[in-house]
Amino acid sequence: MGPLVSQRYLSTYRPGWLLPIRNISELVAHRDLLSLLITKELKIKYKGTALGFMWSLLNPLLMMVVYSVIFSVIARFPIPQYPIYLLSGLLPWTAFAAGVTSATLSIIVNGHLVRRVKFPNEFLPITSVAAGMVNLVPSLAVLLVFALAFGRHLGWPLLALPVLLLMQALFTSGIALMLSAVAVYFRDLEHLIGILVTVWFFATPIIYPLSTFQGHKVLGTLLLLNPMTWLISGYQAIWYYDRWPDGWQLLALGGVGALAWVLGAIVFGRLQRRFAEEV
Amino acid sequence: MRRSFGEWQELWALRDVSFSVPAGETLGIIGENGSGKSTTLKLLAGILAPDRGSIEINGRVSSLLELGAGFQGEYTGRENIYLYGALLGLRRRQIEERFDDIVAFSELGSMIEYPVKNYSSGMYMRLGFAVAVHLDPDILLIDEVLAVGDAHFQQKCFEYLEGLRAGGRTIVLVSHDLESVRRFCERALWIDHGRIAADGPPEQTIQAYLDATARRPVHTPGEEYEVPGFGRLTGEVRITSVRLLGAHGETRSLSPADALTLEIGYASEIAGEVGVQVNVFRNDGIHCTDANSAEEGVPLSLRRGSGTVRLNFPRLGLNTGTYDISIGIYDPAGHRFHDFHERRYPFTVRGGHAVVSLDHTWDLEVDAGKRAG
Repeated sequence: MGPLVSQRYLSTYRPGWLLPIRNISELVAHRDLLSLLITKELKIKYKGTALGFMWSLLNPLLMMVVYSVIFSVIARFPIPQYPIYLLSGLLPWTAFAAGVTSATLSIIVNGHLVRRVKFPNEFLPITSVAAGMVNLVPSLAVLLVFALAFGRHLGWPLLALPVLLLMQALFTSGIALMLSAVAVYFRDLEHLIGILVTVWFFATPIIYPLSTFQGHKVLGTLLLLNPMTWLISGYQAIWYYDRWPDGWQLLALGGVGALAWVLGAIVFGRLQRRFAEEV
Repeated sequence: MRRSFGEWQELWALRDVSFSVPAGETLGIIGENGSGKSTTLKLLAGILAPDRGSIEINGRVSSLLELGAGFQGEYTGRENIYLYGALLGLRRRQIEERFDDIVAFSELGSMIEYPVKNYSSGMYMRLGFAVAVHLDPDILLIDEVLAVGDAHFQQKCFEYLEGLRAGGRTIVLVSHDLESVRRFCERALWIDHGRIAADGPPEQTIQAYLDATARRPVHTPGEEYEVPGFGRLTGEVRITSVRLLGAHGETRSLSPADALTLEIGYASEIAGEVGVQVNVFRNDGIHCTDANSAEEGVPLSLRRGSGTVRLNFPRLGLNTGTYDISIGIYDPAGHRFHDFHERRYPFTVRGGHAVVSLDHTWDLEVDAGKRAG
């Protein structure tokens, strides 16, 4: 009888620094798991609701109505066709915020799996991010309809959309990896994340134009150093201003995204050794 | 594996544990609760990472640490099979190939299309086992899970595992059920307080474990111990030694037809009547039989000092399994216990398949009448 086991499954568990992504072969072996987890996340999210997946369209629309009423009737910004400006930034932000928030909890709420089954745990925060991104796509279709209805001119810059989505996925998942792992040890993050995301929201030119803080040295500079400003400005450029996104900002975004990913992978790889004991 | 409590207190769940399991071997791991058995299995499964030392695994591992652990309540049995398979690292196509076998083995039939939250615990368990063993692992890790479920399915599980073993799969089984370790494993490991206490043929390891359990000091004097519903022990009469005697002296391995004498040594500070109560449990918790001197109208009058009480079972009658004995000495008038040893005296029985072998005889009576032909 020949050997039953094949060398490709050889795995060694040792203490110390694990590779950021510990076992590539394990990730490859589990490649069908990710899509199943994402489907599960989306299915469970709308399970038992009458409108189901429609909520991913309704939510940003309702938010747009609320913000539009507040900021074009009560406090006026000098932005014509404000709803389009707002939606173009709000939709990607919602995907980012939802992804980061649910990723923070992802390891903890899936503790029953982490404790009992060995699988690449990094798929859990990645799933949260992916679910947010999957929800973003149909809502962008809504934005397209609105933009045309408002008579906006949309042109070639739309071709940059996939690049923006890719950058967003990279940056968001890097942050998600980090937060999900840290939250296992620092449970307060679970409560802190909501306020952090809210602060970040107001520190990003989504409901107001970038020019608002132009005269203000400190706040203006901080705003420009915020990677989400670069990302959201990119979306606003293609949907609202009919311009190409700023090349330097995109490049910087790619750099920060890659950095977030490497850091996230290291932090996650380091901390996941004790997940099964801590969750 | 180390766990820290507070900032300075350390507890090593396992230390200096070294062993290797050649491909195709069936290893049993026994030990008390909290001895480190399950930690060992979780390390092998890669769920926990060691603080010191290393673990090498050559092959694809499937673990049954808890049946149906990865199941999603809202999902149907079918959806869960795919999800669980993917968690264990199978491709969709590979799961499709095994799907019908899994459903057939689980005996779920059309229930497979219903959410598992509506399943009975038995159905849940059957599906869990069916999925885990059909995913074709090189190495199968099993924690205790075979102790649950009805006898029919348990038998089926063991038959399937026998098949896997014959096919050269490596199996590591953690169990309280010494008899299944003896029956099923080629080698057994006894882990005690995080260290390997014995490693060898199951017969030897189990004997060493049972011997040590028998020798272990019971309640230290003054120890606070309460029998549920009866309050603190008085300590006025103490059980000082317990021996299980078969036909050829002290033993912990018996057959259903064997005679068993329980020899209970005591030390008494009082003179007067006591009751002695003996309960026999099977390791799945079934209370198999009991004996109670006062209730049976047998007066046992002690004097100050020491002595011995013997309880005789002329024919044991219990079949294959691991059992445990509880012994209590009580005050028949006062509703309180002098001493109580809860499940301190394990023994195993080999022989017979049903729960018990009752004494019986056969008779044949042929009716008088026309003879054929």
